[in-house]
Amino acid sequence: MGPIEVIYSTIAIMIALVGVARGYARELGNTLVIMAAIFLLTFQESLILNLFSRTGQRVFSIAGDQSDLLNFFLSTVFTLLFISIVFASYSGRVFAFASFGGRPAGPPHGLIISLLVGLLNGYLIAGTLWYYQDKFNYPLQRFGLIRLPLTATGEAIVELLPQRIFDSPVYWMVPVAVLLIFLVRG
Amino acid sequence: MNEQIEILVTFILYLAFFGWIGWMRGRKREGFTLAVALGSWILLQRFSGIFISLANLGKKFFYLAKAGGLSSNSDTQTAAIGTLKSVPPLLTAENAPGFLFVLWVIILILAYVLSSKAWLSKNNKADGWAVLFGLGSGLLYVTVLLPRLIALVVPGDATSTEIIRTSSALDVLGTTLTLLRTSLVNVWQLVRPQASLIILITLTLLLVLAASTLNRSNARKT
Repeated sequence: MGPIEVIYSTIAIMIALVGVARGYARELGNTLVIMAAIFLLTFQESLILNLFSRTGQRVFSIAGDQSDLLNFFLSTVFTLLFISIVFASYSGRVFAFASFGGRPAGPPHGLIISLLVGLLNGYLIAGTLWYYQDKFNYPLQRFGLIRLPLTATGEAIVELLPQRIFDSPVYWMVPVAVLLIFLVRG
Repeated sequence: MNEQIEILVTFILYLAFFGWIGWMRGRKREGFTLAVALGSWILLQRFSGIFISLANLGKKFFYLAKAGGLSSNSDTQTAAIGTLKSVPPLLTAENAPGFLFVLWVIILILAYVLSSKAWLSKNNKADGWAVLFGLGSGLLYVTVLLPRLIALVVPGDATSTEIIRTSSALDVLGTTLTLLRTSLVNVWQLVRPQASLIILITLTLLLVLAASTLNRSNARKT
C-alpha cells in the first residue's frame, strides 16, 4: 500500500464523486448527520472508550498487557459506530433536503456546489476513519494495510482531521443548527 | 506579506470584473467570444508557419501584380516573376510574433463585434455559464496580455522585449497560479491564530449557500 494520505484521499475523492452524482440536495442531509455523528462520538469519546474497553476485557478476554489488541478492538468499534451512522444517513430518507422540498440549482453552479458539498462529506468521512486509526496507533498496520511512519504531508494532514480542527466538538453543532433551520423554514 | 495580499485581492477583483462582464453579456455571446479568442490563439501558435507563409505570399503577389505579373503579355509576366527573387519576405523570425499577435487582436475585436449581433441575442441567458465563460476570457487575456503590459512598468526596451519573447501563455498561467498559492498560504498564516473560527464560518457559509440555492418553487410535494 502507498502512503496513508493517498489511501484516505482516494476514499474522500470517491465520496465526493458520489456526492456529485447524487446532487447536493441529497448530500446536505448526509452532511448534517455526519457532523452530528462526529459531535456525538467526540463529545462522548471517553464514555464510549471506557464502556468498550471494559467490554473488550470482559467479553473478549483482552488482557491489560495486550494493548495492541485492545487498540484494534476500540478502533474497530469507533469505526463501525461511525460507519453505521453514515450508512444509515445514506440509506434512509431522514433529513433528505430533496424530500423536504427543493431541487438543486442547475449547472454549472449546482455542479460546483455538489462537488464542494461532496468534498466536505469526503473529508468528514475519510478524515474520521483516519482519526480513529491515528488515535489508536494505526492498528491496521498489523495487516499491512497502512505503511508507517507518516510522511511530512501525512503529519500535516493529521492535525487537520475533523476531530482536531476545532477546540471543542460543540463547534460542529453550529453548522448542524443552521442547516436544521434551513430545513424547517417555510 | 502585504504585497502578496494586494496581488491576491487585485487578481480576485480582475476575475470578478470579467465574471461580471460575462454575466452582463450572457452565455451565448461570452461563450462565442471565448471560443473564438481561445481557438484563434491556439491556431495561430500551433500553425504559425502557415499564417506567416500566407502573409509572405501575399506580399509577393502584391509585388508581382505591381510589376505587371497579371498582364496578358507573357514577356511582362516573365519579367515580373523574375523580380520576385529580390523581394524580401514581409515576415522574418524577428517580426513574425508581433504579426501573429496583431492578427489575434484583430480576430478578437471582430469576435466582439460579431457577438453583439442579433443572432447571438436569442435565448442568451445570464447564468453561471456566462460567468464561467467571462472568467475564462479574463484568464486568457491575462496570460496573453500580461507579458506585453509589463513593458509599461519595466524600464528598458531590452528587458521588456526579452520578457515578451521568452514567456509563453502557459508560463504566465503557471506563475500566476504559483503566486496565488503563495498568497493564499500567507493569508492563511496571517489568520492561523483564529483558524477554528475561520473554518467554522467558511463551513457554515458554504452550507448556507448550498441550502439557500435549493429551488423550493419547483419542489416535489411529499
